[in-house]
Amino acid sequence: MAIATQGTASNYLQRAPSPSGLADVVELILDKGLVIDAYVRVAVIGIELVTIDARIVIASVDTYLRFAESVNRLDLTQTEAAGLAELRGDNDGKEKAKGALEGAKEAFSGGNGKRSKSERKRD
Amino acid sequence: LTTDVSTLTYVYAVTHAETSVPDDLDVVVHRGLAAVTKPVDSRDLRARRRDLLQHAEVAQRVFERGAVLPLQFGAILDDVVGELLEPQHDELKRLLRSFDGLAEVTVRASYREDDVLRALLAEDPRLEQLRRSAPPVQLGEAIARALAARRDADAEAIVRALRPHARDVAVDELRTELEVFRGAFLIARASLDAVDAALDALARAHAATTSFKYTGPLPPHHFVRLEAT
Repeated sequence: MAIATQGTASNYLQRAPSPSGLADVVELILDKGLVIDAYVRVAVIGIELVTIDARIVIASVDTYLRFAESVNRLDLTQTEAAGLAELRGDNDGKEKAKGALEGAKEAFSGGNGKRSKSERKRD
Repeated sequence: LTTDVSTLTYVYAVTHAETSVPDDLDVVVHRGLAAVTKPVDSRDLRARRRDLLQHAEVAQRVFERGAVLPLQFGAILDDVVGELLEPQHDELKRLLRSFDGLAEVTVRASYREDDVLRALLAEDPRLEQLRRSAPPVQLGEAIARALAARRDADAEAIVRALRPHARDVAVDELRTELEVFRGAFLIARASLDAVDAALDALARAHAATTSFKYTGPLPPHHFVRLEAT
């Protein structure tokens, strides 16, 4: 079976034959699986806490502020280029687009950050 | 020899007695059923990292040889036959037969933050307007609402695409606001390639904003339930 034995490095879909890492395993076996009545549970204190510590918190001011901050640091001029590269779906295009985006981000923050202040000073 | 220490039995999984369980694993066989087990010391009932990994690994290895009912982690019995295989015999047999030829695959989809925010702003000019003029909390709240609506629609699309190939679906609780879907599908082995193709097409269509992770085929962890007794 192809999907059982082969992982692919594709960006949009990562395949794995079995759970990788403790977090994925914990999720499968700690609150899933056959539960039988009369048994002793081994001590899993700590591990169960790990699985519940990150719950979805949508309606909080903190989340709103974080989203606002994220939106404001986006370089929106890159939207179209990125979209096109993703649509093409080939890895080369994606890598290039990613490189371009990162370059643009650096240029963006550089242009609006310390350098522009020092330029203003020089003026 | 000490007499105050009792040896208990940890149970990983139950399979048909005729399944050729790998030689290095212990089995307790009773009336057509086999419990895959290991002895544990009653003084040392702790879960270590390797115990958790081993539980999943053993269930997976047995699953590769035949139908398997993986137990939840941590099941320890005094008497595997008297407490499990005999009293639950008919139900375990029925369950095993119901999972013959089936496998679980888990699917996760998550937005990449910058990419999904870009998409939201590009699709809704009102958000772009808020970005220019509104206070951050108001902008953030509008973003969160748009994100939630998008997530609901995308999660539905995932289930819609894979449901026709599946015997059952289990949807797990999301963990972060950027997650889209987290869940498992119960699939006939003969349909695994079709599921893979459907998921590939879906993931490709959402590639601009979303990364998918697909794991399997696995034992049916999400779907094994004893009927209430």
